[in-house]
Amino acid sequence: MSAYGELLARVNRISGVRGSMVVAAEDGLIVEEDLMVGVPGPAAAALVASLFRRARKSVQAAEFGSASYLQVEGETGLLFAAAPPQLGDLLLVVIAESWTNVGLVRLEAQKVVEALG
Amino acid sequence: MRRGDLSEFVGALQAPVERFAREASLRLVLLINESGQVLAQRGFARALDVMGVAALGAGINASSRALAELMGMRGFGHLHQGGAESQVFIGPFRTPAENLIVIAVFGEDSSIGLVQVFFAEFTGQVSRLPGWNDVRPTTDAAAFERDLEAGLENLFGGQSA
Repeated sequence: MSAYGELLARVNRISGVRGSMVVAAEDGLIVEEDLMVGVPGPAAAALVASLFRRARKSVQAAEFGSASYLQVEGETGLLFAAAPPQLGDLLLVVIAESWTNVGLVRLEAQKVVEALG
Repeated sequence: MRRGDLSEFVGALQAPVERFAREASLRLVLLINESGQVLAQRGFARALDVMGVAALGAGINASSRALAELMGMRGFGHLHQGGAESQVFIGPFRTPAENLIVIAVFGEDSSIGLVQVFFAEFTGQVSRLPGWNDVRPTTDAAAFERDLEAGLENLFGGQSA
């Protein structure tokens, strides 16, 4: 299993997580994925990456530095994207049930990303 | 597509092309058939530009498919040329009526991932349109040149530049 695969496997162990991906922020393409059957990975990856690029521009325009996290909540689920510096231009994208403990997702992602760096 | 079919079936393509361009944040988009006949466009101001891009796009599609066949493959899903300011996407697809090619140009407002996602939606929409979901006879050799011109005349009203 690749380093990214290990990262995704650890994030996916958290209760409520339906899958996670490492996505190229500029291209919106999936680098590595570990998703439940039926989760539309390519569409989610492309759209979340697009959102993140716009969020990053907004944060920069407001002179708040670089954007680190993006979270979009729907009625029945949530999308979470993180851009830790250790991943360069890659995003960690997590698709989860709405009741998922996002703090735990962030904590677990941070631990693994630090290990990668 | 024959000259006589254009007004009947080509008009229906414009709405899906507009939607594809809007949703994928495309700067330019051109829909042609494998002969290079222009069926719909968005973003081009001059017929001359459309004619050049259509001819080049059809040629790239034909040569790339030939290359794929030489390598024992049926074809390619799409071609993508990256760039700092502008990127080009060439996506061939089949409809029951005939094979079509999308040529799209996009910048930093979009991404190849987004274009791929909305291209898949676009091809499904076109394949379900009346006139494009049935097998139709394609143009014959004698009428090829006349039908090729008809695509541009249909879009630009006979003005060449």
